Amino acid sequence: MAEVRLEKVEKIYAQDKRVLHNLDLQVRDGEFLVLVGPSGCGKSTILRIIAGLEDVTDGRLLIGDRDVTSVPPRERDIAMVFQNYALYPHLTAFENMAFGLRIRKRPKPEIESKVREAASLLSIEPLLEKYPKALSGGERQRVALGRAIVRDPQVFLFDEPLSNLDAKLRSEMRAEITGLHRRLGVTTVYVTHDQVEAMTMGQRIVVLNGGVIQQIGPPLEVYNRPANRFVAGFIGNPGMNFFEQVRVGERGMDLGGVPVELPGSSSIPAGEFTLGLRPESLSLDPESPLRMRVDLVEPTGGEAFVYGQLESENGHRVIMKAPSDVQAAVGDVVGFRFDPGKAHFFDAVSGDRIER
Amino acid sequence: MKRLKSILLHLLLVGITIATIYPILVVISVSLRPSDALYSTSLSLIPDGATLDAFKVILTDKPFLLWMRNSLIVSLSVTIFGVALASTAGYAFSRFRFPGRRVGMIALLVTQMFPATMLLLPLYVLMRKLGLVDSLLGLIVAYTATVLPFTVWTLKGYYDTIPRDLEEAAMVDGTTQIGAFVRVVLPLARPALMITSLFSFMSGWSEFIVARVILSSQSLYTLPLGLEGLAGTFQTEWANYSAGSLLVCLPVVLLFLSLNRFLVSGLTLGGVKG
Ligand SMILES: Nc1ncnc2c1ncn2[C@@H]1O[C@H](COP(=O)(O)OP(=O)(O)OP(=O)(O)O)[C@@H](O)[C@H]1O
Ligand SMILES: [Mg+2]
Repeated sequence: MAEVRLEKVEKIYAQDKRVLHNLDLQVRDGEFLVLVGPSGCGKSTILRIIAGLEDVTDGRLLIGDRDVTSVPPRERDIAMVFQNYALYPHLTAFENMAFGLRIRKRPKPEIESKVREAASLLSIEPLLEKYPKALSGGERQRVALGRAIVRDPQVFLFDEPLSNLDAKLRSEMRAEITGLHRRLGVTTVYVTHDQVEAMTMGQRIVVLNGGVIQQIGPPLEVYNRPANRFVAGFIGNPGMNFFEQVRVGERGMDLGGVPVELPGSSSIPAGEFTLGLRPESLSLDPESPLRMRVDLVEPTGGEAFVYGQLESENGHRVIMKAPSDVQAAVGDVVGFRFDPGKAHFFDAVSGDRIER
Repeated sequence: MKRLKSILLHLLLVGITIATIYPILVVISVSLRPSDALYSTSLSLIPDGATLDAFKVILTDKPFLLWMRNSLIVSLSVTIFGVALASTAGYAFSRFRFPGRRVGMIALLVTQMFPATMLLLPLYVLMRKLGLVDSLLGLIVAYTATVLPFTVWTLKGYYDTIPRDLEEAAMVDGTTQIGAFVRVVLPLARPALMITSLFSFMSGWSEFIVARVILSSQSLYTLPLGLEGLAGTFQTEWANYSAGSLLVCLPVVLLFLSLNRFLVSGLTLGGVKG
């Protein structure tokens, strides 16, 4: 177990394609850290740099107290689980798991007992003699996990390990991986673009965009106090409602021509901001002067999402999370209100969060 | 309709099979003829008074075993050198980006556009300068050089279908790049290695023209050269000649039969790989 530190890491691929710029990141000893962000933001690149599969253009990488910037992958004492499992097709599940130990010339009985132990932890003992092509996706994923566990590494790296599984298996494996982490306590870096995984698995999550860290923090903090508009829009499903150019004054604000009282608004400097409202902080209210025209109602079983447009000159899109028995039909104009205490404000230009 | 199609298809296949097999049967038949029936025009496959005399003559009175030894030395060396060089060169072309990579690939392809006979003269001059004329080593070098373009391309193409993740997983697991190549890539490339080995072996086994040009000592003759010597200028003992041909084919047939399993998957290389 060890902490991992990236210091001022710069990564430029061929043709001057800069993917990471001056990136500082610390993974604490024993922590489960999730990297999340849209496709192409550099998540895999960071992971591959930690693994040593990609060189840094500039900067340093430390695992524990050791500078491993130019140490080859085999000497970094890390284990990695790949998105497509990357099991060796010509070896049985047992041999796949034993591969790293055999390379390190460990004694036979030790290999045998370690593989069996990991297999029982993952309940894949009956599969040990099978070849990867005879295994289902979930079983392959377990073998790949087993291959990482037997190595007893300082750091686990996961690159979207669940994205090829179906929804049910995915939630099972989510629980399994967090359970393993709790039991083994190994420092873990987990890459995903699935925010459910990010929210449920990470002790801290790192939100990345365009190779730049937008925010680092515990999931709920990131959810409740997004550092900027990008994070606010990226985390949460369905995404946050944004209302541009909302004028905030002494007593409240002006939302599409409707004045809304805002307790504590005096702490916000007067001006025009972007207002952000989570779908669950909206609710129906026939009395409210805020009105929206419904254009889609999406029941999901336990609740329903109501999509519509603000009845005002600029017609902002509005998404509301409502109880499943919501009284709204397509074409209706309904009133709604929101909890002003849960309103987020962002700078109209930089997108940074305005604290209040 | 479907039935008719199937019948026609089978008739065609039977026809092709007969056309392929018949000449071989004739050779077998000729090799069994007693020496007093050499010019017999009888069409029966097993001739009257069939005998194995011709085989005995070939194996005892002629230096057939010497030719066989020479051919084996040459073909096996070509196979070993050829596959060793092609498997590593193909890997480099498949995995690394280096200056000259594209040019190198194309240059290899271009050499395939010239007929071998066109290369005879320069090849001979080169061998002379290297002092390799009239030596088995010269023949080995010449054959290896001619098979490499094909084998390098075949293996490069096969490596391209092996996901890089596997090597990366191996390297994270503790191997060097070369270790990943040996422990993961080579075992997975077995069908391609088999077919390139077979190709290398065959090209040495049955080649005549280059051998004719490079070798002059009778003691260095390979099978094709020796066999040609059996066909006399004025008179040819056809039974001996046929028996010799059959003996030359035998190892190749055995090789094909034993590698059958790999050949089927090897020949479909480059097709869709599931
Ligand atoms: N070998 C490479 N050469 C050039 N550019 C690359 C290379 N690998 C990645 N990139 C680029 O770097 C950027 C970041 O890639 P990366 O794979 O880290 O993204 P990611 O966040 O993992 O995305 P995804 O969610 O799609 O996996 C992308 O724009 C990608 O095109
Ligand atoms: Mg990725």
